[in-house]
Amino acid sequence: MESPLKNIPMDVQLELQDKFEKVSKLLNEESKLDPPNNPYRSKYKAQTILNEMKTLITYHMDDLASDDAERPRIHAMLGSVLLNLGVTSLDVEELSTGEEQLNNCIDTMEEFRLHPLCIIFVLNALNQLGILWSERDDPKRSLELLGLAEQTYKDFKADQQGASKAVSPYDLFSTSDKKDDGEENLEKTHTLTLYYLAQVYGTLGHTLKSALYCHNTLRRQLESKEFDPIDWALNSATLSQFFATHNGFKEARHHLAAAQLILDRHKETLDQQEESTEEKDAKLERLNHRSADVSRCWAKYGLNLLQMSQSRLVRLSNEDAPDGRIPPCVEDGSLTLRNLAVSSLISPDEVENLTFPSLELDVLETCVTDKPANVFEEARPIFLNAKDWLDKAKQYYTMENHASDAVEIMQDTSRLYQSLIFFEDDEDRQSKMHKRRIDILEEALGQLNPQFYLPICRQLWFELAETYTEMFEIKRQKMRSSDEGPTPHSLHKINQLVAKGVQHLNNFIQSLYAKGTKSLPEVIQEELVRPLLLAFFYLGKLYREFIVPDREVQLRNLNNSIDAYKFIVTYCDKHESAKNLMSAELGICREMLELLPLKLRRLSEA
Amino acid sequence: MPHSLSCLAAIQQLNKIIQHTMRDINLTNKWSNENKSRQNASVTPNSTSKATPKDPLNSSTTNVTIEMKTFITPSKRGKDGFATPKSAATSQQKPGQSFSQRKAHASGTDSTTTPVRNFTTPSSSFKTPDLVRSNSVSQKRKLFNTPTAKHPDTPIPRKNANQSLHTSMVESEEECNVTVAVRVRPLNSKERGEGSTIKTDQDGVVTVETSDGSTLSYQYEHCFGPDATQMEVFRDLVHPLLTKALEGYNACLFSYGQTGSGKTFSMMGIEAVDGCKMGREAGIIPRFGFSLFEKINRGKLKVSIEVSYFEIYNEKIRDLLSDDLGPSLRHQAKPTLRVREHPQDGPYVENLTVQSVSSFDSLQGWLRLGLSRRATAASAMNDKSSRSHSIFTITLTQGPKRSKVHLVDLAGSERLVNTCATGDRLREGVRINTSLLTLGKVINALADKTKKSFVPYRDSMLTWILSVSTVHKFISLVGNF
Repeated sequence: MESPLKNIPMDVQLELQDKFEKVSKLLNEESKLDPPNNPYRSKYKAQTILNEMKTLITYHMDDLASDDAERPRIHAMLGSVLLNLGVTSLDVEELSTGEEQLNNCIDTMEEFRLHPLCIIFVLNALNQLGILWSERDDPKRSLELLGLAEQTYKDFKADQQGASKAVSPYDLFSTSDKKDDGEENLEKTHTLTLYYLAQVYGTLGHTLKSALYCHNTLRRQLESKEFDPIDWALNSATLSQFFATHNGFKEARHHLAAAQLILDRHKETLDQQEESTEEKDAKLERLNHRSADVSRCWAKYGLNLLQMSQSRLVRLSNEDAPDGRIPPCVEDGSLTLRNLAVSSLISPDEVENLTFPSLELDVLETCVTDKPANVFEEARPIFLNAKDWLDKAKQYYTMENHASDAVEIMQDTSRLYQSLIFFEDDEDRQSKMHKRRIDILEEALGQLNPQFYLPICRQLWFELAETYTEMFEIKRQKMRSSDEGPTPHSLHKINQLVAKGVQHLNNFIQSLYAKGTKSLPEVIQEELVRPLLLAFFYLGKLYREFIVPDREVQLRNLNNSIDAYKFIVTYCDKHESAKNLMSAELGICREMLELLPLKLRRLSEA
Repeated sequence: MPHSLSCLAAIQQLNKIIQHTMRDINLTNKWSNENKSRQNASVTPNSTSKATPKDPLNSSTTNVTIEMKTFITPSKRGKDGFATPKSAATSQQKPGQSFSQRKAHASGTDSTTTPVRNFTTPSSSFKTPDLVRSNSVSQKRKLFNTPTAKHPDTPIPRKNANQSLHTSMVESEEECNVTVAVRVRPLNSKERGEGSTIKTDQDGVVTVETSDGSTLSYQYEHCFGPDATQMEVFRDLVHPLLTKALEGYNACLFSYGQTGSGKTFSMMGIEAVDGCKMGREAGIIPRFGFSLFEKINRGKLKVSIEVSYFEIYNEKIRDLLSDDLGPSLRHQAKPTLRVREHPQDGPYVENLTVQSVSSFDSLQGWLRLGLSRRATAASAMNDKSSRSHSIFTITLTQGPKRSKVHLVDLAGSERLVNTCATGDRLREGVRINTSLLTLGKVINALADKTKKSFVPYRDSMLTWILSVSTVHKFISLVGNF
């Protein structure tokens, strides 16, 4: 490429080139074959050669005039050597040495940091230092360095105006004309900067910022055409989950459609390979597995959209109420992605156009809306779309082979029905949908062995109790609004629903009993305290919903109800932390414990 | 003294692991009584070479041994006792298990090169079942030190901990017994100058000198000093497991510790060169196999033995004993195995090769083959074995009784952060990675961890295999009653 240097004798230049090639070979090829009991052998060898190169270059650098035209190149050569030394030191876990070498590298090139010969080394050194500080648990320092790398790249792009292109490390030492693509190398390095920034922002808790950088990383990967289609699709689909839970449905759908398209294309490529080999089967299995994952992400998208629609309608109906003003939030759609950007000190423009312009996604995007539903007719297509995706995912995640995933899918199906019920006015159809939920959840519960799946079983007991309660409330409402008054049939039905709810809550509570006993342990695992206390809270309520003429049974139910509230109050009195968890319910419990004994007395005296 | 700092950090990490592991096992075990009969009834001696769902790795009853580098349990012992299914007493957990609350900061220096020294583990009191209760109502954790596994002449990972302990945690079956032992390896030449700050005594107390000159002592079930032999470790810690296994209990032994702390030395040891069957330096696994067959032969027991051996590397499972492949490159091209979850029988490794063995020699043959395959795979990937977990499973079938013993050599604890059974895994920030392939982890950390989103990355294969319940530990319940 470049003409030979005047300041360095040709034989030295050739020696440098030779050494550089040796180092590349040691680091890129031979180090992979280092024996397990000496894993850094090649790296240590490379270090020795690099130090020799450093001495050679430094020797010839001392005499350079300050305006010598070859200065940038010679500085770049030294910078390249220092970068390699730094990275190698980090690899062999000599962190402070590596840090020093990387800092030297940047200092050496400071004057020429935007020079096409130097830019790649500067960016790489900054990236490496960013990683180093992140590993030292100093993400802020890491952010500074990576931010500098990002800015340097931008400055180079602005400065360069397309005139001169970045030169790759290989060409720097080469005396021949063989050309490496420096431009590609530069872009890759920058992609890595963005990717590291995504991580640092994530670590610092700036989730939206991190998501933006993830998106940019994905977009650049796509443009560079260097990516694994399945990984990429999976990443895009996962990122969609962030957007879907932050009221960015348009963005979420775009990322899902992109994931889908990449998977579809990948499937076509695989299908073209005719012969069936073990390797191909493994690839197909991976594709099916990950396609099922993307399907589940689609389903979550629909579920989130329906849930947001519901909260939004609740908010709108409350807005006229004098005290109905609640602060805007993501869940009810009153806080947009743009609002979030502003509150995260990000320019709202940055969250516009989070798209993959190189992909044709219109067809896939039109399959489902990204707008909240107002009425049943709008909610239903979202529901059907999401349910289709769940059915698709179920083909891979079968109960037989993937029990816990299969159950999660069933739970999502139940939640989809739950969301649709909100838009359904007809009580009978509401009941039918609740019945559907119950069937799904009870089927799941029936198949699982609690020995292995206890936490899931607990969720199912709780969700079933919840569903029975909702269904019971519809029936009671219907009975109350009916002109004919309660019929034996409707009373029986109501008691049955209440009994089922009670039974599932008790199953849940009993699953927490201390081993071999019939009582709860003194201290409950932290993450189960609220569920447990809530179970008692609902139990206290449900026991009073039985409609029975027999006074003995009434007394027993009332006592059960009192016991449930007592448990909550006693537990909270003993455990300060539980009090905070139950702040909303605890007051009601205390009130109940004042009222219910009176009722009990009246009942037993009557 | 950055030592103590990084040690304390490691201790805290370990405490969480132990706490969570035990809790999960505790949960799981709750049902083991009811299910035991069913399970036993359904098990038929199975000599086919593939594991069936009948062999869930996730046994209801587990003996966990965690060996780790340096563990310290505060001598004021907290209780996180676990009631057993059989015992009528309630389990008790004290809230403030006194873990060391110190916060460790990674300093800007190469502090990673220092050993982990102190680990706090909750010491625990467990209710033992009736049959054992006479011995001990509350069991204590013990520490033991591991001798250096690395040959003195290997300069490599300069990261070598200069002094390290192993802790072993044995959790047994129905009793839900966990034993933790710590083994301290001898100092290497470099460390000798710095002097030891860890002292062990006969009663399982480990004392660690901290940077400010104060000392902390921790009590474990066993602790083994630098002079302890492989035989002593086996006799005190592992032999009881063997007895339990022959009684039909499942057992599990983990070794835990930083890279270079001697985990693999403890587990595998060094084979005798003189052809002697059980050399001085032989480790836990060969000793276990040897004693097992000795007992069988001496007692003329009718026990059929099967072994399987796999490793988890990069969240992938590699079968180390498959019939059709040698330790060739083809071995790696073979698709990795998958974990399946059966609704009734729990998780298991699909198509895992199970080899039937009739003598110690054949057991050791398989062990050697597996080891060689493991090593080949590791060096071809430019990786140290410290990055993979390996699990050697021995299945004992005596008539209708079947028990499994898992002997697990975990990856170096410094790599374990993301693999462990801790709930904190999900909340952990993502460390910088240089490969774009792991972009998933970044996004993963952004996603809402409640039921609202689906995050399709399944980390911690090991946890998943050993205890499916941990994966689903989080319950988020939203009730609108």
